[in-house]
Amino acid sequence: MDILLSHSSGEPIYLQIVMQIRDSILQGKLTPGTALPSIRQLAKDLQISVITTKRAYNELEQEGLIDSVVGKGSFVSGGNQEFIREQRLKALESKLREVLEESKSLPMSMDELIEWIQLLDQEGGSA
Amino acid sequence: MSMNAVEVEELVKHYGSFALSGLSFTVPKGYITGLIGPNGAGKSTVIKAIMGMVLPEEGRITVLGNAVTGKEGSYKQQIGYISDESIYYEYLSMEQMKRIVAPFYDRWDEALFTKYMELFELPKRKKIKDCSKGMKMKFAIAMALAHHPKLLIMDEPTAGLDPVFRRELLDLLAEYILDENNTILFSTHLTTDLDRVADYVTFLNRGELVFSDSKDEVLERYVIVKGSRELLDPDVRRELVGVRETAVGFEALAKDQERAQALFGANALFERPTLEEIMYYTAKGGNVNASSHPFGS
Amino acid sequence: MPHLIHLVRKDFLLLQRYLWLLFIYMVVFSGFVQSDGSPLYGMLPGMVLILALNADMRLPNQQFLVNLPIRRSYLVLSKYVSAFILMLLAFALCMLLNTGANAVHGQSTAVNLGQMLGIFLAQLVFMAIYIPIYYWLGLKGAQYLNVAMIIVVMIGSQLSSSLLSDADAVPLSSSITNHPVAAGILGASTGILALVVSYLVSRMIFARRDL
Repeated sequence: MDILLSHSSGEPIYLQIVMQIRDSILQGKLTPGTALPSIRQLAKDLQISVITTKRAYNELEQEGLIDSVVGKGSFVSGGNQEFIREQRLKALESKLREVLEESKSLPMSMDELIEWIQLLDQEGGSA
Repeated sequence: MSMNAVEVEELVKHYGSFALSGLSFTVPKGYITGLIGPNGAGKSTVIKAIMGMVLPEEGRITVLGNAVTGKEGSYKQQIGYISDESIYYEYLSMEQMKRIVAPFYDRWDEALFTKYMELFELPKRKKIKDCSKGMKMKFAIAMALAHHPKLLIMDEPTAGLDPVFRRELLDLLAEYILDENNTILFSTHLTTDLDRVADYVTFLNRGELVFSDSKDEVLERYVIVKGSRELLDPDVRRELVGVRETAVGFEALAKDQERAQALFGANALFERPTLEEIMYYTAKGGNVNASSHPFGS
Repeated sequence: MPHLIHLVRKDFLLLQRYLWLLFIYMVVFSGFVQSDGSPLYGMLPGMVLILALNADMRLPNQQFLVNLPIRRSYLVLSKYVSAFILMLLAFALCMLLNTGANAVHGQSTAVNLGQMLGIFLAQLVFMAIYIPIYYWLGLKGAQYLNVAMIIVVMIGSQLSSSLLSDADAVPLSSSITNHPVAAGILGASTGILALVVSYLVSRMIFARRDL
């Protein structure tokens, strides 16, 4: 897992961490049960404060994406597969809406669009 | 045991025209706290009072559960203190100096000391007076960490350090704070890289506490407002900590981000402040406000 | 208690760099070089006292000491212990050296213990006065204090040498030799009293000092 922080973007640091870990989990890059770095280790690696890191983990815990076990650390939650699937479906939906909008403005018919998607699928191209 | 490594209550100390009058704040255990403020704010005095060097006229200081009286010294077994200048005997070598200090500490760790000396590439036999400021600071850090302190206190540690070592210092501190029983308190008048790793910030100005809070909260509470000078009427000014006016507009610090947004709405630009900006406007604030005329009204 | 030993050890380590200087002084002013070695009795212990105290007179060094995990009063007490041991050592060395010189020059090697005790006592009183002034004046005044004290040491060494040779001192010294126990007790209690009072004063001064 990579976390890349920008100190000049104006976006709060804790939010950058939340978004990047959330994305990794929702995209399936981090599988359930995977151990996350400890709060203090992550703070050290990112050269940021412990409180900022703690806040990010708390936020992720509230979203049900990670579990924290006292004395053991934090893990990607396994109990919330429904939620994760839902979130991923939502992300897919918004991408589909974008595609639809774009095809309307081209314009391109629904049939043409479906045909194109099937063609791409046959090429084996989920590049 | 308290959640605080250091508790300062109603501290009173007069020094000529300078005074700490009833200063209270805490240093939470397990975190890094930065004591910030311009020169002469009283940062050094506070740190010296914690170390028992300066004796307060009134008030109480508790360090790791021990009351600081100025007489007792054993609580310093658990403190690693790094002064802003070299306090060692300049004419001794670093090795000789260590031999003087080591026996005083119950938990002196010779192997750890050697590890840091090697890590910092410090030649043991070099006389302290022949060391650069950076080397002296590194030596002080090695000495402070070698007795496994529970509390690390640093007075202006980055003054005179090159940027390369400043970053290395960040790593060292982060490694030290990996153990949640450890606490760091440092003072600085510059906003340096150190602020990045600080969990809490205690801001002193002219001997008075401006705030003592989590850094993230402080940075989210305050806001920088930029806009046209026409927006500044006396009511608006009262909401601002400090204003800097020029021919092309004003820049100000507001204490409460939500109030500022409600007050200025879409007429102004809002930015997240840095600690340096908060320090600047607070220190200058009173003066700028007092001497400026309400052009807008 | 162990900390007290470490503090005294520190003073000895700090004095190491003056060893050569002290050695040269000792030889130059001893009976080996001088026709009269008696000024050495006043000079060497006085010098050692000034050097021992000034080794950590600088403010940063005072700060260093106060930052050690020990009571403030130990810092003061250790100065008395160090100074006493060093003066005693210096005095013994003087005696050894001058006696040796007398032996080489074929003079009597007999030591008048009464006189010696008297001189050493005078030096302890000197120390009992010097240390509180040193703590009282602190960094600012100590430079002047040292100049003044070096003059006192010079005069004192002349006095001690005249005490050794002056005929007027003979009745005094003979009365000491005639009542050695009484003189010893009187001398020792005077010395101890002076040092205790001096220590209490120094401690009181140093306990209130901001560094």
